[in-house]
Amino acid sequence: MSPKLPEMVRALLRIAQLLVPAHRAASWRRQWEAELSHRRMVSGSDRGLVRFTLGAFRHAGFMAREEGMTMTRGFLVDVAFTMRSLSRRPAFLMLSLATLGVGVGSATTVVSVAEAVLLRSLPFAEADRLAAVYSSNASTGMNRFSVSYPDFVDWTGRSDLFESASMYAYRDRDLSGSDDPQRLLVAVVHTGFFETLRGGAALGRLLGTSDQDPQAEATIVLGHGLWVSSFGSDPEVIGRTVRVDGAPHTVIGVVAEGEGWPREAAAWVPLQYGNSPPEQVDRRSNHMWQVLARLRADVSPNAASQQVGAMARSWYTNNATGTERGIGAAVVSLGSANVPGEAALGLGVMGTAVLLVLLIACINQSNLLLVHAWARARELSLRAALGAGRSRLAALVMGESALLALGGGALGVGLAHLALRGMRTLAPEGSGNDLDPHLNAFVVAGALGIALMASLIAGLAPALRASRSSMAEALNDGGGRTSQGRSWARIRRSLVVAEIALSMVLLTGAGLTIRAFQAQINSDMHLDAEGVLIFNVRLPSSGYPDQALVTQYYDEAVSRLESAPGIVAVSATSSLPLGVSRFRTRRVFVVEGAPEPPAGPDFAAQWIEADPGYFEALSVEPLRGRALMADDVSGSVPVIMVNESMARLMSPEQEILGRRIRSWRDENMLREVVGVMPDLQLGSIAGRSEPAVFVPRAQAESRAMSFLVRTAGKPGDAIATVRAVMGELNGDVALDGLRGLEAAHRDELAGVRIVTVLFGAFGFLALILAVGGVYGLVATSVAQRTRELGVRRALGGTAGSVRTMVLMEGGRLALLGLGIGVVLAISVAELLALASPSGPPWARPCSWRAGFPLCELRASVRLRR
Amino acid sequence: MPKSKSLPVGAVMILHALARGSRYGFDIIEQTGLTSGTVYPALDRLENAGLARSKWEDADLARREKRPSRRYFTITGAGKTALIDGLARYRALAPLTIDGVAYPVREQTS
Repeated sequence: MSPKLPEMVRALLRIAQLLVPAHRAASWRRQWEAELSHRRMVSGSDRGLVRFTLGAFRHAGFMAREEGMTMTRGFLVDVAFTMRSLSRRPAFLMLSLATLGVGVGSATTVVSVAEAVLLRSLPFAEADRLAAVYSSNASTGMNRFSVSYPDFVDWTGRSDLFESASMYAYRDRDLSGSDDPQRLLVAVVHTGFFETLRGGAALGRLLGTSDQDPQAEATIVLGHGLWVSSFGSDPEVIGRTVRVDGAPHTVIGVVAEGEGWPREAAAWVPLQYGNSPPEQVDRRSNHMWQVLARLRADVSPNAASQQVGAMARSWYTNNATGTERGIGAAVVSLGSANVPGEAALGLGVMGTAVLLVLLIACINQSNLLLVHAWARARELSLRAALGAGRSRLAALVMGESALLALGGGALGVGLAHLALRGMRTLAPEGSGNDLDPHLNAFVVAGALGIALMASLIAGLAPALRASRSSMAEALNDGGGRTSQGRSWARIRRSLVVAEIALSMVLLTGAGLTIRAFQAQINSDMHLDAEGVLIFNVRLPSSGYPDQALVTQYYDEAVSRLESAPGIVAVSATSSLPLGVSRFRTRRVFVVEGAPEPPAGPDFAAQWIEADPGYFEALSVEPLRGRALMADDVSGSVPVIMVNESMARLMSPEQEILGRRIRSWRDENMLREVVGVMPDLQLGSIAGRSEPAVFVPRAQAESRAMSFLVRTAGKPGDAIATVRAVMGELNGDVALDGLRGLEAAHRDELAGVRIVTVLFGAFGFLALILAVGGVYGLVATSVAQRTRELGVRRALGGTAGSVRTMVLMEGGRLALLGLGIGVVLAISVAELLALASPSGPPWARPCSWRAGFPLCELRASVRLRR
Repeated sequence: MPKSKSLPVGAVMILHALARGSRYGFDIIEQTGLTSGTVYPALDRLENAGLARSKWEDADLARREKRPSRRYFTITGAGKTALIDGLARYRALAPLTIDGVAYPVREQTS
């Protein structure tokens, strides 16, 4: 028998040895070889030797497990050590925590807001399949408007895309039969509405197909809020009769709390069309429906949008004329349909800003870690000399990054908490803004994740360097003189340059936004809102059954207010300026004698009914012609005023004054254009003039009205007078939103203010981070070069020349960063300006709308009603 | 490593073998009939617990005998105490008869 172990046994030993921790492998192998040879000697044969050798695996496994436990203990020791060593470098620790805290904090804040706006989940089963379908028109640039009945039938008939669909419309209705009669926003819904929605009932049942029958008794479903506020949560409410605009309706159910859709609706009534809707509704040009659809499980909103859009476009291109040829369709998931495009754009801009801040924070952190790793190079080399492997060193550096990340992340979450609280106070109180951004577990987990990722990515470069570093070099590299010291410095310099460039971009963005906001506030509205009071009234149809009584009420209100002390001018109007009105009506106009649409051109304009006092109340003079006058009454010649935009639109070359125009489809009355008004600001944002017409209230019919009151003194002083006068006229009519026009406009701009403040704050933070980065770079470089600087002094350099040299180094980097940053900022600004038609933002700051779209949110929500 | 009170029977057997003069793994396996997969980890464990101690055989001696040097184990003082405790505990398993067979089997033959 040869003294050499059999091949099989040696192979087994080699494999088992792989399990044994490296530093014990040699002695393990020696022990086993000794044992095996002893066994062969004693037993004189190799019988059972292989089986005996199998024990080596259990032995090796045991040693591996034991080593694992030691490593865990080692990890805890490392953590404790890292914490101790970090606490000995308070400046590094604080800078690093602040950097990560700011980065993560701002990211968390914006994510929370975005979550509040976008991800607020709908409480319905498989809500991700719910979608809204809109018309769009590429020729007029209008996207998302209501759908006509024939379009609804054609589009949602695509059973390959939609599982079910329904439509609804908002109506103002008087509701009586509850505790207090009131005017409510009611949703009139088509069959299949609640089946598509899959919402639940708190009481009774929801509307079904049987309610659609014109012969069936009229039914109504109450919203949970209405049931609580006006019916005292009465469980016996089912079967009761309430009157909707005077017509009896039987209450059949109450919607479950929070499951009402659309959210603004107070109650739901069925469309009692039966199978054939009235001719007027059945017109393809009558865009009056909101469409709710449930997509098939395998169809995405985007896919549906493409398919339905293509179908709609091809129909309209082949069958329509004029601007209607541009009509298409858009399918939007119901969750994001809640968010108007402008708000989404605002979030996009904020998201970009926050990404930049996070990026800058990451760069800063990476820089700090590099400096730190440089300072630790000796320690790490010492560890390497004492037997620490490369992976072990890398783990040590990464572990430190992770520890910093957790600290910075926690700090960031705290900052975000404060920021969100600040935002809630910035938002106007009771402005109907139901956004309540708050931190939740998801966001916090996300933030910590971001911090960890950021820090680990930032720590990657130092960790790789640490694991690669050559001992001798690091131990000798006393003064940053060797090639390695220089290459570290190069990395850090490029990081600082990148940082400055990025913060430059951010600051430019912030500056543009702030300037645009300032321009908003200072822009010429072509009207004087100071000293103007506004309020709305809603006349219950029970007290004012016919138009004559309504008109009488308004006439009486205007004349009584006009004669009250301290009041200069008064107008009842269908629409308030500066985006304050809840409702806006647009009508299409045709010029007398011109071919009618669809063959001829159609001009859409906002329709405003006003009294002669309207223009005095807003201190506006007509540019040409005359203003509305008291003798423009129902019996006299029908007149109309247009604003400049409308005049330019309808008659770009000829004078519009004296020509007669007609509101197409809605009325047959030809009105003579008697005056042209300047483009007084109708929306909340300046510089976006839209065509508008003004008609005498006495020559139009309207129910829901607002009032404009110019006061002689402070508007606040006149509030009591207005209340007294209106109460005397009819105490049962509530005054809604009685306040100054200026204050109302400020509330409208609250969203813009939030974006501006946040953007400014981000720019400022970025600047601080970048300055910190430059400071850190120069400071460490000076510290590392102490010896060199000393030599320079010794060789005759003056303190001044040394100082200049150091300053030059920082200055060069700053200049380089600024240069790159300016180029980037200009291209970013150009990019943003592409969205607006009127040139680069520095030329026309008002045109840079990307920065303040949030304010459009509420306006668009209202317009969609 | 748990102290003597809860030493498993295998560990007691190994300590017992060491106390009787066995010095390395294969000897103990021969003595106790335990498998190699049990004995080698157990020896390390006993050493970690301070109940046994190991020492590499003098390399010159091994070279003269043309074999690898061995790792010799000896029992420590603490090991002896633990062994006495363990033996007492297992001895407390009193003789008894199950299904007509008396345990321990040796009692019957003597």
